[in-house]
Amino acid sequence: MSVTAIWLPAVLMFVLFALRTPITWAMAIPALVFFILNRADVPLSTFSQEILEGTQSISLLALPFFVLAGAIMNAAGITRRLLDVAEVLVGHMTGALAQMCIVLATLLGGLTASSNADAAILSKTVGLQMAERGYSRAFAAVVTSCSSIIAALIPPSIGLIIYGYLTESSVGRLFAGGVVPGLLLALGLMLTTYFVSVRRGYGPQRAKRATRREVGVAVLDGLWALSIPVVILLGTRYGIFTTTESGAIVVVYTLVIGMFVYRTISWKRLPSIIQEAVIDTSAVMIMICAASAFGFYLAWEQVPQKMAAGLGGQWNPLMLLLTINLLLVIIGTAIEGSSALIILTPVLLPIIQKAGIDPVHFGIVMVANLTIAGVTPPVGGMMYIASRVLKVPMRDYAIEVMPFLVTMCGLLVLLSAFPSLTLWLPNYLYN
Amino acid sequence: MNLSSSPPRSRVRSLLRLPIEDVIAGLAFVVVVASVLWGVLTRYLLAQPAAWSYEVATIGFAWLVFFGAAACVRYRAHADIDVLVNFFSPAWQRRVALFNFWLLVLFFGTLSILFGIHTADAHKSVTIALNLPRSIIYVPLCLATLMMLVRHVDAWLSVEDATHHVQEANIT
Repeated sequence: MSVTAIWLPAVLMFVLFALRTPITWAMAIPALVFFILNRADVPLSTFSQEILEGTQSISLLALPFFVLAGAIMNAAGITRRLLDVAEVLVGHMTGALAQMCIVLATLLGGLTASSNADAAILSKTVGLQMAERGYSRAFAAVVTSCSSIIAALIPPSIGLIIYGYLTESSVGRLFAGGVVPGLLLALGLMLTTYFVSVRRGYGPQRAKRATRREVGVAVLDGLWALSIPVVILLGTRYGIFTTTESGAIVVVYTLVIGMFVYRTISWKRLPSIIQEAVIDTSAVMIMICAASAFGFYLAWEQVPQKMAAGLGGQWNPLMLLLTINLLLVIIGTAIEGSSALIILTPVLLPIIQKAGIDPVHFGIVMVANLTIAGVTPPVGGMMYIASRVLKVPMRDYAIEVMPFLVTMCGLLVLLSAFPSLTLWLPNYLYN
Repeated sequence: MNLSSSPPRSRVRSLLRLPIEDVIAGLAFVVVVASVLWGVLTRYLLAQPAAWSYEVATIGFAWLVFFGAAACVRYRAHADIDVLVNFFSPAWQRRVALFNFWLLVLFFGTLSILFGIHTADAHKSVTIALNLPRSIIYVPLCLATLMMLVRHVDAWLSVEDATHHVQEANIT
């Protein structure tokens, strides 16, 4: 095959991206062109099989379950209970509302699996409260959107499920690998918030630290929800159920909590909750289906291997990771995070494997990086959501987000340089 | 909704307003959750675990994803990259939109035929656990793609309704 024909689908995909063709079809159309051009060697029915492949994956079945569980949790009013927990834990600190937002995001991260969902919840709850109590609207939008990144790392996480499927890595190990980086991110955001709050005089929410009894009452009230990530990690670790099955169990668990424990969900609300989960699941799953077909073209023409060979000899893993991080940050300013994850993972995997980088370590760095892309102007899902709710112009947001971006880039360098930060927990739990 | 007394064109419009794909995808969602749960329950409660549970779940998953994707066409929830096009003049933006409209009409039309042929082919073989015709897995591809074509054309024709349709998918 000529060089032009080999690269034609890839070039066509980028042209369609630029022309605002929806990302899913911008991948599926070049894939179909490839299959039509190569119909003498590859049966056209392979295109249908590749498009269908994602839906026949047991590991990807976990995705709709966690999306649905998150939607049920939102409807069950779990946020208010978790906000009470956050209040007793950090309500006495400088910039208390902002600190509460970060703690709430960490707790929610174990329930919702979606950063965009978290950004919507946080900006509508804590974000609006911050604006009412004298915090700058842009600061409130930045804190809520940056906090929602934590959901991408704390299990369960949609990004990690997708990455696990694309790289055939253990989703359980990826979930465990996300815990420490997620907590480090929360810590970094809290420190940044503290310094900004001191400079601006954002005060505490309560006069003194909460008593042990107050903490105990709040934690007990939110215990049903707080126990979910623990149930997932321990259940999968001890082989009681698979990650996918844990998703189905969490759906029933959250439904029981919402309907019978907190009594905040009625049968009438279920269709709208399911519809919300259908849209969220399908929008990302159909993209994965299209990426499977496009991935067949990449594998057939050995495009990633050619790119890896083009990079030359043996790369230093750290230098390679930092270079990829820089590339992802730049790409992330223009493409939505999960789309970039689906498009780039099959291309980057052979390159990082060649450099001897652990796929779980790379997965955490990549998912963290591409989720941070959600708060980098001009394109960023969480930035859009928080800015719209809090009515913040993009220019103000772009200025206010800078110290937080510096912190998060620092974290990316830290995670890249010290793989053990990511790998010790999965190694401890699964080896 | 009284469909019989209205003129044919508005009857078609009323039919198109029904969330058919949402209902099919929602029912498939329930089937997927129930079958996986049944698989876990039978593994611990019965001597013979249900071998068919994952087969039913993956069949349901295909129905959920493809009809859900048709709903996404309706609600315009498929993500795109508008960074470059935003720099274009309104006239060129209109041309790009027209190009995308016809490109997707052609694409969805081609896919419907292609998936239809493969559904017919798959009907001759059966699934592993339940011995169902394999067309049950492929038929949502064909029907949902046809639905996407209808929704895509409908969305183009009813631009003024766009604000009522738009939903955001939480896909990160």
